[in-house]
Amino acid sequence: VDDLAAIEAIRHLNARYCYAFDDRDVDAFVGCFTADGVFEFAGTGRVLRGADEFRAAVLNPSHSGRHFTTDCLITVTGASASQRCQLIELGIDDEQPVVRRYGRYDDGLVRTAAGWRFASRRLEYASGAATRARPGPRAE
Amino acid sequence: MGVTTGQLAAELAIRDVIAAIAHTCDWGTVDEYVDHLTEDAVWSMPPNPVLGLDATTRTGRVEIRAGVEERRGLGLQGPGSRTMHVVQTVQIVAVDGAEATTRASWLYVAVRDEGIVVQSLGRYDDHFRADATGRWRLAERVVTFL
Repeated sequence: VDDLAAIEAIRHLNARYCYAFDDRDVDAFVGCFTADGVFEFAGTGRVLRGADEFRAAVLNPSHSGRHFTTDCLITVTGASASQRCQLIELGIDDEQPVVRRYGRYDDGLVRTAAGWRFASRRLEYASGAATRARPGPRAE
Repeated sequence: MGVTTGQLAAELAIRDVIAAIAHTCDWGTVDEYVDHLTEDAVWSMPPNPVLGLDATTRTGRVEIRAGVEERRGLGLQGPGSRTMHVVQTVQIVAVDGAEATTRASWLYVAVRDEGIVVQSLGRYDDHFRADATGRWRLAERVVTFL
C-alpha cells in the first residue's frame, strides 16, 4: 500500500511539474526538485542546477505550449524511486495545434519531508531538440 | 464493495505493461519488447495505408518479433527512428483473476520532411494474462486506426 501511495504521489508530482513549467510558475517548478536537483538534456552536455538556473529555464520567453507526460513507469525502493515516462510537447503555430517535440524522461526521485521530489531529470528528445520553429508566447 | 489492494496492484501492474510496451518499442531492444508478451500472444493490425503496410495477425512471440524487426528495418519504429508511441486514456475494463481486458488510445508521432507529424492514432483493445508468479503480460492486442 505504501508503494501504491508513493506511485500516486509521484504521478501528482509529474502533473505539478508540467503545470508549473507551462504556467511559468517558478516557485512551483523549483519546488518539484530537491535543493540539489539537476536537469540534464541528454546528448547536449547541458545541465541545469539550482533555483537560479531552473528559474531562467522556466522564464525563457521562447517557450509556449503544454507538456504532456504519459506511459509512466515508476519503481519505488524505500525512500527513493526511479521513473521513465514519455513526453510530448504541443503548442499552437499559426493558430494550428502542432507537436513541437517529443522524447523521454529518466528520473531519480527521493522522498523528502515535504513529499516526493526530483533529484534528477534527464530528458532525451526522440524528435531532435528543435525540429519546428517556436514562436514566442501569444498575446492574450 | 471497495476496491482491494490486490486489485489496485493488478491494475497498476497492467498499466505498467502497457507503458513498458510503448517504451521498449521506442527505446528498447526487441528482446525487452517481446518479454512483455505471452508466448502465445496474438497481435492484430489493420492495413496501414499511410505506412504502406498490409493487415496482419501475428501469433506467438516469434511471429511478433519478426514484425517488430521488419518495422525497425524499415525505420518505422525503434531507437534512432525518431518516432514515438504515446498511450493515453487507459481503461482497465475488467480484471478477473489472472485475466484482464483494457483499452487505450494511442498516438504515433514521427519526424518527416514537413516536420513533426502525428502519423497515426487509434485504439488498443488488449487482453492480459498473469503467470504463476503474478507477472502480467500482453496476451492479445487488437490495433484499430482512427
